[in-house]
Amino acid sequence: MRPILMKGHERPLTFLKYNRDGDILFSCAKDHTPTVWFADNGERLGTYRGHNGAVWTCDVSRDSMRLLTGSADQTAKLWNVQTGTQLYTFNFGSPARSVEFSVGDKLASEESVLVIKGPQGRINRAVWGPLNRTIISAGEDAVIRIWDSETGKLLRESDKESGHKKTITSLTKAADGSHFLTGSLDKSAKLLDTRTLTLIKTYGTERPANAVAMSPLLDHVVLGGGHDASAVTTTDHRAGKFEAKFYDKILKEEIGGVKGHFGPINALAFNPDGKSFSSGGEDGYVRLHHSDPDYFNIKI
Amino acid sequence: MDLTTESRRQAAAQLQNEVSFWYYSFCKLVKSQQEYARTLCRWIQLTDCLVTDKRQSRCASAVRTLSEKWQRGLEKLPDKVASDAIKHFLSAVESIIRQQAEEHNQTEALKKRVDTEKTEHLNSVQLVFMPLRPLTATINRKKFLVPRRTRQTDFVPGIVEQIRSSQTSTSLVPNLSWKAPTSKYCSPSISPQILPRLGSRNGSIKSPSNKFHFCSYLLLFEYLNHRLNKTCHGTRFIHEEQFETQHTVAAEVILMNEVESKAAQLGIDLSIDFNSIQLPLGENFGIVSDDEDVYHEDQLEFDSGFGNVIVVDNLPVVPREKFDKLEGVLKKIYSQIGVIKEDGLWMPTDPETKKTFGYCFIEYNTPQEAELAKEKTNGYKLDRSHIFVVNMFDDFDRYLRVPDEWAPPEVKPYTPGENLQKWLTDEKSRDQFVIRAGTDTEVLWNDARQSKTELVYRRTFWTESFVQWSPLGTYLATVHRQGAAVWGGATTFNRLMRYAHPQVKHIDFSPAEKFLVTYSSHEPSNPRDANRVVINIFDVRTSKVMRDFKGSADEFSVGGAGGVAGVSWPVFRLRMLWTSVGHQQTPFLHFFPELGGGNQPARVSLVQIPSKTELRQKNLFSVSDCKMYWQSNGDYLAVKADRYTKTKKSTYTGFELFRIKERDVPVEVLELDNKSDKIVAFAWEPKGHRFAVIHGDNPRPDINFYSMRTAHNTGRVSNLSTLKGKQANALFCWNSLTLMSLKPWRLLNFMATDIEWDPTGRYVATAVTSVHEMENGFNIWSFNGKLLYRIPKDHFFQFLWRPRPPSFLSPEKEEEIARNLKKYSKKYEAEDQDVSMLLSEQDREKRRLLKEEWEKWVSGWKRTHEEEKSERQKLRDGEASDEEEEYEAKEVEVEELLDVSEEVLPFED
Repeated sequence: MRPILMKGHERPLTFLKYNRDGDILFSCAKDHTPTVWFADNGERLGTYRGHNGAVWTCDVSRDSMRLLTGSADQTAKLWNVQTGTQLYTFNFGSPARSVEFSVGDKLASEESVLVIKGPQGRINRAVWGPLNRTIISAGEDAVIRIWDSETGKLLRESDKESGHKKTITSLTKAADGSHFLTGSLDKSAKLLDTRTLTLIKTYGTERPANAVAMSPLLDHVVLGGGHDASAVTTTDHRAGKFEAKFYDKILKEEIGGVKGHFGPINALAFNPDGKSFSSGGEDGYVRLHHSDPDYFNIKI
Repeated sequence: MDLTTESRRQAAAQLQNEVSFWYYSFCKLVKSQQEYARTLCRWIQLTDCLVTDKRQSRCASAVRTLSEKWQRGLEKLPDKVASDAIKHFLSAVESIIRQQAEEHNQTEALKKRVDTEKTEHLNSVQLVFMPLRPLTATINRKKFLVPRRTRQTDFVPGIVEQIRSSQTSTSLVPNLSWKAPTSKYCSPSISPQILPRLGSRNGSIKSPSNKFHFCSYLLLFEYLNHRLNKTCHGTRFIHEEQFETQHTVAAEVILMNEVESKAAQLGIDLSIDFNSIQLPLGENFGIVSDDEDVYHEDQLEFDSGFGNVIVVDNLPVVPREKFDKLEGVLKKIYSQIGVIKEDGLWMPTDPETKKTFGYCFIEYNTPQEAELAKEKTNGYKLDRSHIFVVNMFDDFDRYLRVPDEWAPPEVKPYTPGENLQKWLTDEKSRDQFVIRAGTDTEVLWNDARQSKTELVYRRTFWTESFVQWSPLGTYLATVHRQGAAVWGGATTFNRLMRYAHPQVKHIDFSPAEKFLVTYSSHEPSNPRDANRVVINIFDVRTSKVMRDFKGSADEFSVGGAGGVAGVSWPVFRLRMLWTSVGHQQTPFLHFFPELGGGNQPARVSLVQIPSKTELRQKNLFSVSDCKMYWQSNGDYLAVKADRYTKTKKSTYTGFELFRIKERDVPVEVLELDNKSDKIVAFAWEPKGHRFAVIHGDNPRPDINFYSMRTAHNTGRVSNLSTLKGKQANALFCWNSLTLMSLKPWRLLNFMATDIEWDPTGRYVATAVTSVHEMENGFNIWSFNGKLLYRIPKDHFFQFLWRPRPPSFLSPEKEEEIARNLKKYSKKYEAEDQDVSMLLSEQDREKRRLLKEEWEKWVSGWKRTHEEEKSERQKLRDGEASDEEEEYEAKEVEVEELLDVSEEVLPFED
């Protein structure tokens, strides 16, 4: 189906998040206002004003009442989803790159109940492991680490041989949290087990994978990326590979691609019902794609 | 005196740490206690006044008094005294540590001094006494080896051993003895090279067959010292050392005693094991190591080398008065060729007679200049009796190794070579290709049936710039700094031969693979000169140089007598030259630009190379630019001439088509229908008579195909067909079989930088080389445009099909095959069928396994998910909906009242 173009951000998109019901979509961009949209028709519902820096990430609580955003202004803010009022501000010593509500919504990742220090380089993603017992982090040093969320001890580390070679840019968990997918600038995405950190699959592509998403419905993964943003103006939009590429999760084969962006794709999110997905690009657009019926009968 | 040991110092440092920590913790404890009491007191006071109830107030006041008492007590504590005491203790510990450090420094300095003296002593002892009493020297060395100076001490015995082994007479020893200590100042990188020569020089002098003054070796060495001293400003040291060592010869034993007595005086036991003394890393206690500056100079020397030094021999031997004059003359001669380094000319003189020895050393800025100078002035006649003999400094090593006796060359037993054309007998009749990506070079089979490649051979750092197949595909040539090499073999790739040609830039094979031409051009030192061109022609199988050429590019193009005098530029066959010249872009078809403001026309002339006769010339008027395109067989030549229009504001293009092979070389003029169209590309059909032109200004230009003959008349250019508005911007080598199918390639893979047809015309490869950042790799297509497979490779450089030699079949046989094509194709079709069956079978199996594996994971995850269910519920405050609810599309009817209006309808009867 024809994608819906949602123009509300003036700067490159950084993150997209659906709520659990899949009826609203939150988008974060390098402009300072996270925006909320209707996931069905792409109508803008409202914005959350208050941040003073690029907003890198967000998460919404299970009951869709609270929104947590992390920003480059070194704060994370808790919002009332309905009214857009700021409820609380967490202050950090560095830009907040990743936030996530834990199971039960009582703790949020990257909160100062516990400070984990150690790895070199920026952490791009940190998410909760099963039952809030662990925290999984990934970032510039291309190593995925599992930390104990109680003690802050390092539990596991992905091995260098089979792991990513360059900065890990994104990490998405499966719906049940049992496995996750990482995308890296080394032009590959990897599927790993959350508990054991075993490498299950590697998806190779031709361009840096800036964003990854997993279909909750079908065994598909989507990789988005493209040329480095700084080189976009010098290349043809066809050459930049600004497509969202679909791969079969099990067979690792390419199924197809969704074109449209004229900059690299920075964010991808699947609707929890698996029937639509949205992509956010360096070009400042969010594209909302409702899948055609054909999509659900793809056989390879 | 008892020396403080390392462990004591460590203990002291630890004590200091502990005490200071104690002091700070004590202060902190007292302070926070007081703070706490004060705060508590204050709080109680505050709450006290809020309460009005008497009973409570009394009770509270009891607490209040208690707390006040506590506070007072705390304040009265003699904490100040205690903390002061600790502080005193701390300062005492610190002073102990200071003393220890001082003591340590002193000992270190003393040790150092003893150490240096010992080594110096040792050097001289060894040098002088080694031939006489080698045993003692070795013992001494063992005893005094000091770890920090191992490099030097190891080195010096090396010299001594050299001297001993060459059985040098003792009379030479004083001569050498002053050199050994100074060798500290020349780099180890040079000395090991030079010293073996010193060692073997006895033999060299005696052999009369050598045509050089080998007695000059000492002076070579002297020259080195001269040069090194200059760089390190170390002359002073040399003199000092020289002086000192001369004296030490006599005073050896006394010195040794002196050291010992000095050591005893200082209270140092000489039997200290110096290995056990270790300075902390990165700390020198203010003692500058004299090793370091030597080390620094090593590095300096290492960079330059001696490739840029030449030795000029056969100079007149002049007395001191004429020295400057000779030097001036030499400078004049040699600075014409290249830039001589500052102080780069050095002519040694005999210290006794003050006369020169008749040779000098000249150091250029670059090795190229030195080489050029050697070539140009070797045999230079200064006057009748002085003909220069010029040699590279580095070559002396080689000349030295020339044995005195002639030994017959060893006859190698014949080993049958491998079948170099084994690849042609591939069962599946596949083709090979070579790719270069990153540091790897790989030769692969194109297994199009299975849509994959199969590795034949892979090698990292196989070549330094590029690889090239020989025209018949027998060899793979790699290019290195030292020259080229060819590789081949039946199943793998072994090095078959090497061809020495420093800094080779291009290589090419003769069409029958018999000869290999290598080409390099060097920037001239003088910008006015033309590039220096070096061309070697090797026999491929023996790597013997058949012909060579050294000279400027101009000389090359006109066939001047460069290189060996009297031998004109040789041509094996005209065909040979087509390839070599075409490759190097040396114009042998000259284009003379217009002169004299258009009065004299520009001229294109065709010159035959060996005879230098002008075959054909053509005048062109008002030409702005000119380009030439040769047909691959050399049958035709197209000259594209851009001409000015009458207003001189714009240009239009015309083609002059030369028929080389016909008598008198007829020329035809071809102009496009629309004269102002820009020519995007021009290409000849390989080995054919057709050519194509892409022209037009818009992004979708037209493609015209022309033939040099028509069906009836072979002497006319005819337009074959025109393709309008195709998106193409380059023409690639076509295959005559698929001449017309070139258009879609650019569309299919618009990033492609290279397109290569395979030698059978069945497949075509498009490659994206590293000029693009993204999508590097190559695609293999079938001839009808179906993508067969795609291999992404980062940093992809080169893709080359392995050429095939022409068919070995006789024409009759070929005809027979063509007639019975159906019969043959049936067999291949059956094979194809089998392969695809097998492939799909394998594929299915692989997929099944993958699915199974995945199912295993999923079931594992499900189980753990179930197990953790209760805990998750607990975390969610008992919220039951753990699993995601099934989504179901429910149709909910909602009635909305949009508008209510009342209308009065007239009731009609």
